[in-house]
Amino acid sequence: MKRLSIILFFLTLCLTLFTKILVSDQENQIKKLENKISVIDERINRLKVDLSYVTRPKKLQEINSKEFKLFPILQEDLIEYKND
Amino acid sequence: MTEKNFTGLVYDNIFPRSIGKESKKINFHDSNDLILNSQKEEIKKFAKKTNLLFFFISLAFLIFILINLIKISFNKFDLNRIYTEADISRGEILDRNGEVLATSITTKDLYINSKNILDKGKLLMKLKEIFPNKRSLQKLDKKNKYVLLKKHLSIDEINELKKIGDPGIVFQTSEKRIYPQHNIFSHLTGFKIDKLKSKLENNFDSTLSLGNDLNLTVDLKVQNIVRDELIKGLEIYNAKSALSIVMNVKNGEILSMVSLPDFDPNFPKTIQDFTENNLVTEARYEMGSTLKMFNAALAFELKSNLIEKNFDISQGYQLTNKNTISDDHINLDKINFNQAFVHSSNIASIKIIEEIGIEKQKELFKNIGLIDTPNINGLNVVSNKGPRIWNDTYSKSMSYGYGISLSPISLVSSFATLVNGGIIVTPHIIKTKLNRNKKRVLSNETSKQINILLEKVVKNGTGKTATVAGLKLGGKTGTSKKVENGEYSEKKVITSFIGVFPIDDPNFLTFVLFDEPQRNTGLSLESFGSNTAAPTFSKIVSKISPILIQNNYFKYSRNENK
Repeated sequence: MKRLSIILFFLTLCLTLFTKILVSDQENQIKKLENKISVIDERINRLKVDLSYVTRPKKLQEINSKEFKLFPILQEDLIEYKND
Repeated sequence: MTEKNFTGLVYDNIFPRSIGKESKKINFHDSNDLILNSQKEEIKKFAKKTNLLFFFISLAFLIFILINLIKISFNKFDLNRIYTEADISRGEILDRNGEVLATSITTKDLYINSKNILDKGKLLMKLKEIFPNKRSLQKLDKKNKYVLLKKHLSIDEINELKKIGDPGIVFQTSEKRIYPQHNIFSHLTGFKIDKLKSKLENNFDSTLSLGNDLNLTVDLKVQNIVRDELIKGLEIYNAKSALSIVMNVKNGEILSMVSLPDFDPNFPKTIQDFTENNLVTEARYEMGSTLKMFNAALAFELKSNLIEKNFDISQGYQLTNKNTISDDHINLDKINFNQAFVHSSNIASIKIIEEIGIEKQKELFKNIGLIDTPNINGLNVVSNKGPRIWNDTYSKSMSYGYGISLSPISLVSSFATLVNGGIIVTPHIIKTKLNRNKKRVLSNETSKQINILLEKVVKNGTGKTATVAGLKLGGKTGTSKKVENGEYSEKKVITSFIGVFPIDDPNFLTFVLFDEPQRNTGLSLESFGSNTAAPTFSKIVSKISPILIQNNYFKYSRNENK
């Protein structure tokens, strides 16, 4: 019984220390990853916003009128194929 | 002496402890030994008890550790929860193709920590150079320890502030809501500035604040075209306001919803009262002749002999003592059922509903949703305003579109049922799974007849100006006088056009409405649905139809209600 108790005690102690080290290490890793992800997310978000601004219809219309002078396709421009 | 001889030896207080088989030695325990033995037994018992106690302490410790481990796992959850609430960026509002309509970016706010300022005079001078118009600089003179000086700094401002190098300058990260499309979706997204929110930003605040995106059914390209054409119409016809909806009549998806005038949600402080309301859902109008199609639906549904009948419209119709209805715009004395709609006759509409009866009209209006307020997830919708008592006069007034005020979204929703095969659809702007439980209120045959009639209106009637080359469509014009000082005005009108395409299997409905258009500034009523809303409809549909085809929006729901 005495031996069992001592073994149990040391086992618990080892388990506790091991778990504590493991959890702390994983928490640190998670924090590092979260920081990295948030930085990347922020960059992606910035790029998405920039893209939305650059490609917004008014901007595209401005670019078109300056550079390309294209006209929008109208319904009458479409050719309908029929099997007669 | 043999072993045998000794085995029988027994003394009073002495007995052999052990006798080995091979051994000839005998160990004796005397009375003193017995006393020691009892002490030993006690020690043994104590040791056993101590061991047991030690065991239980170890077990308790193990349990304690296990509880802590479980706690750690719960703590992880707690951490996530705190992380979610406090740090997750607000969700985006996206159009049906993932175009960003509203998003959040992290910015820096400027705080001044008075405790850490090195040289207050120098700092104030430098800050005044960077922010010449900033009144809050005066706050620094007071003894506030921590002062917010400016929110959402620009990169140039941050660089300039960093150059000052005073430790009293503190940058705090914050979030700013931005709307890359500016005015285009202002009436849908609404705005969010600090705790002030409106429309979708307000109605879906809990969803967005948890970082979830909101996917809408609207299409940026379609919305932009509709808005551009509506702005042109607003300028040409010098109207007070205008609105338009493009909706899929088979599943209720709204592809575009424009209300003018609008506002830029990036600058909420510039919003004026008259620009803030989404007129599509938050205003109601007497719609005029577009409502006549519901009379036609009643006649077709009841298989009435009215369809074969001719109507005399040469004489006016005395509706009340004061009010005589006439069809001055029609140069015919007698018209048939089809002509009544093609030329938009008020008198024929009254005569049709006279024959059909109030109860049938009331039943259809209720079933098709003209009385109830449509429930659109995320949008605030005003209730329709019908007559308090559904009497003969009101019934006849409603037959040509007066006496009942409807929100445009309500009219569009009910009209969709007329043309889609008779199925009730729920308009929606948030992408959802299609509801397979379909409620039919009109027969498919009635719907087909309505579509034939609508096509005739555009081919030969008041809707000619809505024609789009290369596209089969149908529609109905509407013109109604506005109430001014308790009477119907001769100058101020609401003009509208509601059209569906392709007419042989309608997929899309487009509604255009102008409030108080003034084509000419003369005294007489010169603005009609046919010369304001219908041409604008034509321009819109001519441009959006290729986009709808290109994006397979037609294919998406073809024959769904058959």
